[in-house]
Amino acid sequence: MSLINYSSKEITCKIVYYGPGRCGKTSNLQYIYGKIPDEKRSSMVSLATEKDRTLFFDFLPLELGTIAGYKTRVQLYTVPGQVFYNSTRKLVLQGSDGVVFVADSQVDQWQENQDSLQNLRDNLAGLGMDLYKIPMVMQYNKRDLPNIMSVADLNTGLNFRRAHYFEAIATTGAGVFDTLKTVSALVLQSLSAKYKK
Amino acid sequence: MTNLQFVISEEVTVAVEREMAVYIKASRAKCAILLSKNGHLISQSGYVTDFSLQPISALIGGIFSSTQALAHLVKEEKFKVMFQEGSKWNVYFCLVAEHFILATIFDKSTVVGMIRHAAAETEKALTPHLEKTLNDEGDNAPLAEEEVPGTQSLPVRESQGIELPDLNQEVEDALSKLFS
Repeated sequence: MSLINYSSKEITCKIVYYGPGRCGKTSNLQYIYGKIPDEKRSSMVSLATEKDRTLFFDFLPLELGTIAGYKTRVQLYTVPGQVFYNSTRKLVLQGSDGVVFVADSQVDQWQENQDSLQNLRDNLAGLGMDLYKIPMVMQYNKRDLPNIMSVADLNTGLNFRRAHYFEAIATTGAGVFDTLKTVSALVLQSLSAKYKK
Repeated sequence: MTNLQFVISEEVTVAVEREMAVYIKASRAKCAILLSKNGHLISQSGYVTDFSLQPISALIGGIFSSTQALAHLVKEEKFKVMFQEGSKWNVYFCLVAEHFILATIFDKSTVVGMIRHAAAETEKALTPHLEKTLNDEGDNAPLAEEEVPGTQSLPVRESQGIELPDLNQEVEDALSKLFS
């Protein structure tokens, strides 16, 4: 549900970080937030439980600057990953222009990744959106941990739509900006295609 | 359900800003914001120092969405208005044209009854303008090139034989600039 203001030449779009619990969605936003210079820093909103698990969503607005003549604003959201917060995930997913699916690379998280991806597909379908059509990037996080799956296996099992994918260590920032850059570009290209003659 | 997008023309912007200014005067509120139900800030009138309106908009969008889910659970079609009362600041918000929220931040210099009355009038005034902004995916909206002479339109992805412009580079440049 992007917002295009021809009068002020502004575009606002929404990107949602999706994935199983503790896969690193909030860490992505925290890393990005930590790298914004003080003078450009807005607020990051985190609605978390006492144990720092996301309860509703994290929200980080980013002013990207002028792209193709338009002041471009990207709003980053995360969903709560825990299984029982599905109604909240649906609400946050509503109106998204692009999705980053953050997968946990650890072998023992394989089923959680698959369940979360299926949940994403179901929730998008419930909103009249198609997992195969929405701009999407896969991020294989926690590449620094032992006992992780190979990228080839993750791609085979999760990336059936052959989306762009990146290896990441969100806590150190590896792969975080590559992911953000690519999903932002895909969203803007998608918007552009919709509004061309 | 279709995936709605909002395309705001100059005509609508002018009309919305006019109605918002009338509303602030009539309600005596400190600040009013118009946002999409999704939390995108569209317009503001009035001003409160130190309030960061983008996160406020995102949170109001979230609150409103969860409240509508709650409405369905108690067999209501929707809850149209909400009011939060604080020691100094109060927030009143109401649904406008089904897809937008008019949120009002006010202190003790006015009362909620006045806000409620003025908001209802403003809702009526804003609705025809806001309905013009709705755009189902797949529609071809007016092009920026024509509406804003002299501006560059967004690069376009073509599927058949035309080279894709390097939007990645533009985004990378913008991110580099932001985080430098």
